[in-house]
Amino acid sequence: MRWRPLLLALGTVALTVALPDLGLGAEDTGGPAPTPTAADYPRIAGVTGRPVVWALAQMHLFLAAFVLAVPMFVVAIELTGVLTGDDRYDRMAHEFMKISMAAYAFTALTGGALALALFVFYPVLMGYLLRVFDGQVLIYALLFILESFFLYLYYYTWNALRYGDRKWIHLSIGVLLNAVGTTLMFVANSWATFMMAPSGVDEVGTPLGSVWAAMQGPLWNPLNLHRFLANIAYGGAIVGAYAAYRFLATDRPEERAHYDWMGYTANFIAILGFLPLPFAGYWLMAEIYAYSQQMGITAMGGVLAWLFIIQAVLIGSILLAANYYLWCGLMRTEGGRRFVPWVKYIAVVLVAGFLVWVTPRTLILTPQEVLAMGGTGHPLLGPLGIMPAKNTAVNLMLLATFLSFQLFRRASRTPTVPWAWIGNCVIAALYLVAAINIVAAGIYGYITPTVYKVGASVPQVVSTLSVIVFVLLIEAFMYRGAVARPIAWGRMSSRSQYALFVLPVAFTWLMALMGYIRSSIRTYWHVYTIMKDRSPDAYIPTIGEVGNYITVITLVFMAVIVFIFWLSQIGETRQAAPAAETGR
Amino acid sequence: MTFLRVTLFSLVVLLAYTLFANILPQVQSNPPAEEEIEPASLDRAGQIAWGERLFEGKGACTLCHKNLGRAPDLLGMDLGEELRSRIADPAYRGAAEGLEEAEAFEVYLRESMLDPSAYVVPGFGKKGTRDRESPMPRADAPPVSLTPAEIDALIAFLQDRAGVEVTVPLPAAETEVAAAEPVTGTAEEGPATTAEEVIDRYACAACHDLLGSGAEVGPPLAGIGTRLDREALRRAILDPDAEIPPGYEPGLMPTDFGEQMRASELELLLDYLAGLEAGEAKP
Amino acid sequence: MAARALVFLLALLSWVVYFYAVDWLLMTAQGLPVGWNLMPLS
Repeated sequence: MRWRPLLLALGTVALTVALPDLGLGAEDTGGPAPTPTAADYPRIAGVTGRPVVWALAQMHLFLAAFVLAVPMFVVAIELTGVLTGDDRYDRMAHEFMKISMAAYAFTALTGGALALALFVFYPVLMGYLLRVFDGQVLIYALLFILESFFLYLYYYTWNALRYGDRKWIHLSIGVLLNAVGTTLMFVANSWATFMMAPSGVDEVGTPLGSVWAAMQGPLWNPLNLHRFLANIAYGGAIVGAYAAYRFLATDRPEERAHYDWMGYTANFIAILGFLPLPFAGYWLMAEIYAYSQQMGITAMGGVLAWLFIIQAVLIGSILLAANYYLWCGLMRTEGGRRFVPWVKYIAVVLVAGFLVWVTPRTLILTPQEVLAMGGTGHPLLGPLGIMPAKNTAVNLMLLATFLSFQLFRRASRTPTVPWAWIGNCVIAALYLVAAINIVAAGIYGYITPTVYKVGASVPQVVSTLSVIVFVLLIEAFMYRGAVARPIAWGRMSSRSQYALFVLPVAFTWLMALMGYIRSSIRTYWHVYTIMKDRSPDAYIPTIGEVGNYITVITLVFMAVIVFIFWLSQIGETRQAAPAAETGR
Repeated sequence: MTFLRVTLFSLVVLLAYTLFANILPQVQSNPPAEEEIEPASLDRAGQIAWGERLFEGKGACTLCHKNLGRAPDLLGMDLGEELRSRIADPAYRGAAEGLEEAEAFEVYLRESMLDPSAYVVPGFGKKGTRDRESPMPRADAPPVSLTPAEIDALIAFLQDRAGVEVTVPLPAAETEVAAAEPVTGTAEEGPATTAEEVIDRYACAACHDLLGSGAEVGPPLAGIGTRLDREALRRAILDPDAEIPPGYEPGLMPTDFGEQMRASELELLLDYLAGLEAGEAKP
Repeated sequence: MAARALVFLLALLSWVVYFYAVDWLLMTAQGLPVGWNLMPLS
């Protein structure tokens, strides 16, 4: 415990330096936000700021999301291992952590590069933001040091603190690591949300003296929740790909069994984080509308609206891939086979929902085509293009995915409670009524004016959540003392593993896309309504350009992650001693 | 081998997404151009046309005011009929109450832009406020930030659409004929052509030490160009009480230079002040 | 079989009541114009 006084001292110093700026006193606020001119945006070797900062920020966010998410579910898995006494959990948790460790250095590296690029290319903006957030930077630095400290401590004490009371100390370190990591992300988020919806400053941007007020913008908490959930889904998807690759690369049955199980767990984590994500996204969007209707419409009904069609395609493919993987998994158990006939109905719902979702509201049409169709909206398909139809579709798709997941869980267990059949009736009725309710709310939304359409989606969301909550609740009681059936881990087709590659590819692309939208709805403002972007990059590029650039970033990230996987694998291999070789 | 197959598969998935992004309609959205317009040169038709450009461009009105039910579809309706019935609505308690036709329209339209919540058309209020609060941002505040002349042009365009006489002043005439305030002063004279003339006409030197007047009521302006940038100077003239240097009283400097001065005069003055170096104001 | 159908119907009915109550609360809390059948008032 030598480090404790050191840490305490460090913390005290940082707090004393920062406190005066965190809401107390602070007289000198330095006046309104500066107005940059075109000359304030350097061009280095013909390259302007946006492409550089965009790529670095995205790369940093990919890695940071991964590095922050992994310890979260690792602690959960480690705890499961302790509670069940099953050593496999502990081994898997440790393996997850190993991948994350290799990624941590890259995260810090891209973070530093991003900060450098921001100060080089956007000196005026960064100067202003530093003025607004002032002492918070020290807190951020302190958190970063703590994060590194706990991360290394957590990883390297894994085997030293393995059993008994010591294991609980290790788990506590893991919890602390996550607390610091989450706080770190929240602090970083406040800069992004300040630029979207500034708070804690007057209308010309003069800081009012409280950093806390600047952090607490209307979008801060929605973004915090959204990123928190998305990180978990993303982290799960990436380790899923790692497991899938190891599964495909080996022929040894026990390794196959291990990586099949690891892939299943990772997919489970990804879906668990993913299911509530649309609701967090809904909250974020509702807050954006409440803050500025103009901003909301720019995103959902203006120049960026088409990007949400791409989002639909990506989410659709994620849901299809995840479901496909679960369906393949039904074959691992004897009990699963009886559910196979159901799969086709779930598939119909998913595909139908997917098609509704990608139906565009309006298309670029020739005048003849408009004439032939009798308007810019198709008489039959047109209604499918608007929001209520899409909300209905996504909620039904989520229900279907949850049903797949539920079937999979049931495949390996048989309930022994006598009232199991009643429980089944109640659950079946719940699905039916919830589905009808979702469709009815969709119809309500369709026939009311636009302002009520958003309101009508709330009952839909609550219906889906109700199903998830009630089914989990009922099944928790129903499967008490259930007979477990053996699961044949490793009995999985190779084809099913490719679904686990679709997930990270789609997630990575999707994350870059949504991040771009979040950033772009500020349009030509650095800090919305306060500081204009006067750089030559202040325009919103075409969808094709955006897509191409996102693909390039994704490719680079994939290369980095493959390298990280390779690093964590090379650590296991040991070169045979030369003497042993010549001896043969 | 596995590695190649997996990589290839991932690339194909990636390519599919990229392809999809490239077959959607490709539109680039540029920030609103800073329109180089000389308002003083506009005649009535030019002003109306300018208003129409603002309606679709800088004003961003069409984001909501179109046939999607977000806000009244101003161009799709009989605007004159609509305005008449709104002003006659007993629930309307705004400034246009009791005024007649064209004049009422002008006051109503201006009010709806500068204080959107003064009257909310039933069904278009912010959700949950029972139509007491409008979701529309103020047209003269960021992010839209229309100037008074631009708001006039928009009103001219809408009055024209409503089929009534256009009552807003032309930008060339003395700006901002507020209904209550009579035009004062310089309406008959032409605009000042030198900075000295501007300082003379608006009596700046009566309080500030300018042109060697030695006055000490207001702060000295020697070297002001090195301390404040053009925008800050402009604010200091148009909204003088926003920031008062220590040792000076607020409320002494007139706050209506925005109405009194012509845009060209203000620019002349700003040029002059920005160029002032320390000690230059004193002879 | 009859017992099964009866339980199913009962469950159905309770869920209908539950969702009706939830919808009603959510819609009126947001100030949406709804009638008793949860459809918009004209």
